[in-house]
Amino acid sequence: MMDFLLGLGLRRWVFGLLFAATGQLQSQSLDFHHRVALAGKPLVLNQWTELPGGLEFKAEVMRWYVTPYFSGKQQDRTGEAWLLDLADSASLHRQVDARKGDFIVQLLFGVDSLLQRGGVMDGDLDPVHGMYWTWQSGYIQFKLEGLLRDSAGERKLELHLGGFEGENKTAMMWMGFFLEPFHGNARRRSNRSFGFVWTLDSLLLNLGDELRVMSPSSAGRRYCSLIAEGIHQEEEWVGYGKSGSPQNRRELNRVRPRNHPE
Amino acid sequence: MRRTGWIGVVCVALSGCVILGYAGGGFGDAKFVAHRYEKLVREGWPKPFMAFANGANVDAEIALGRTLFYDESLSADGKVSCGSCHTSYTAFAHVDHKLSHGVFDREGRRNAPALMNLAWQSGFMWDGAIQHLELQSMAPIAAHTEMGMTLQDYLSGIKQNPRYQSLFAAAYQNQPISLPLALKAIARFELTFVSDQSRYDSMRRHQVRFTQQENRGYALYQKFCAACHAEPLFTRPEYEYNGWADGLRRVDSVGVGLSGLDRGRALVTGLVADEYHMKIPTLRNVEVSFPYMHNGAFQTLYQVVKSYSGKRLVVRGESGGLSKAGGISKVGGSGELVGSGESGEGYQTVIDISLDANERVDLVVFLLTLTDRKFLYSKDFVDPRQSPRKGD
Repeated sequence: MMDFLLGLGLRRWVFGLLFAATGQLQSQSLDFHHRVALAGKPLVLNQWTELPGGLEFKAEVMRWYVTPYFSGKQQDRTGEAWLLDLADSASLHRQVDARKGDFIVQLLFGVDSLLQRGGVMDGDLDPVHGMYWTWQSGYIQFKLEGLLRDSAGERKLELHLGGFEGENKTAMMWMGFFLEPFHGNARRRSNRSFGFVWTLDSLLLNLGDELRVMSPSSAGRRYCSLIAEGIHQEEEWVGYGKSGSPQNRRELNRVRPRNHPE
Repeated sequence: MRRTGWIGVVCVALSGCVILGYAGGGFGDAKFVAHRYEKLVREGWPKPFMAFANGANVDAEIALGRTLFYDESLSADGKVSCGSCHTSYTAFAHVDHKLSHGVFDREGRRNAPALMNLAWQSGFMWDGAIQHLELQSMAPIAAHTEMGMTLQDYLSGIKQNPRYQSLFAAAYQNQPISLPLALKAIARFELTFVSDQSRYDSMRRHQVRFTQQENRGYALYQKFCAACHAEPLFTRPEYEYNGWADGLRRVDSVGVGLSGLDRGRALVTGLVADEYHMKIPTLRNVEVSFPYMHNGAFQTLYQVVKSYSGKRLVVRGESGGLSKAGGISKVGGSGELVGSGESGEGYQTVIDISLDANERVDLVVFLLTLTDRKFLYSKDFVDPRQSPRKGD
């Protein structure tokens, strides 16, 4: 019987099942790491950073949302969003378990409009975190507060960016990746790690006159686009996708700014 | 051979366990708060956007929400609650107040709207800025001119009050007290504000007959009002401009500015087409929810009806979207429906309103049939600290 199975080339399949039965392969762990950079250096809260042209910036608050999507043949999704806080390093590292068949991950800058309309949420989306405009439905997608300094003096910067209705819909960004599907050689099912760098250079060097944006607006929309331009994937993608050719994989591996498709 | 066969069987069995394990897995902790609602169904009414939860603790949730609704201690000066501006015996409007006053007597900028049949509404506030009932109560809680609290302080106030320990435990068992649960409880209570026992409803159920004057008013309503205030809810989930700012329009990019004009829906969408558009209020219980309009401009129903007479209204959408609201499908004829069709701004219906003095009275008489005294005097809605009234 065993010889028959091995003869069918199922040796790896059988050992894979045994390996999985130990509990180590019930799911695949996906690690997402985010860090923030300015002028080529890590951004540290409450420290001045000098940019080209003599501009300096000191961040006091930086918090923002990312919505992860996981999909495969069943087009599943999590229905959650992550609140990232530069003051809370743990929030910048997220680990999730993907399940069999879920081999595409997409991250969205901000809270997607379905969640925005979904009623009151708990966890990272609890309005008590101060990332919700109480006077209208809508999460603040990105909050940056700090000081700007140049030859003209010191100015306060307060950006609360968001909005998902009408003209005030904020520009967002998708970052798509293929993950290794849960079949094949079990020994290759290692954890996957994804790193992102959020560079603020483009935003801070292209600020207009509006340094205090506290509600959905055209300035907020523009600033969100500038932030999206500054997102880069830090680490090489290490998985492979059954349904994706190498060309497709390279395409997906890029961070691609585009407007929210909803 | 037999031994290796058993090994194969064990492997297959293990594979089944693994597959089941995968099938039961998920992506981390799903943070979606489940919305498992039992449908609110009213014969002849459109499908509600929300309905009551199926859970066994709905009554406890409602009791918690009711307590929060009337708790003044959860405001900046300890004197203002939701119920301060939304009194049950006036259909949860702030009767006789053009603009409501909040903590430290700060005055708001819009009239407190009546609250009823909220399960059939998808947008809240005059400009529809809030898109979900569970989120709505945050606006008055955090507004400087209303309850004046931070959300953190509001939550702390709840946690520090021993009474809420038992109320939350009854409603949500072992879940810790949190802001989302408090907001959900308030929404549960508000979902019970269902008004469908007016004389008009009795007429629809063939339990009573309208008088001749009421019938005349009903016909006038269908001709001139139903495009926006569609039966049976006497509203539509839309935003319209009723001409209130005609002659006063001027550029005002900051909302209520020097000109005093309220840009309404445009403040939310940023769209020029939404300038001065406001949520269409329901006409149900309109008898007791005065003053009227978003700014409380009119004190009596007759003043409102008179103000519309002689106006040309442009209603967005085909027949004012009546078919969408499940009401009548056609705006009454006799020349008042000036026209409808595609324009540069989409499909529009134009209605010229003409009412003589007698017709105005007839129309007001019909509007009085929309008063639901069972709703207004229900002991289920009053401050739980009050004794039930005589006759309840």
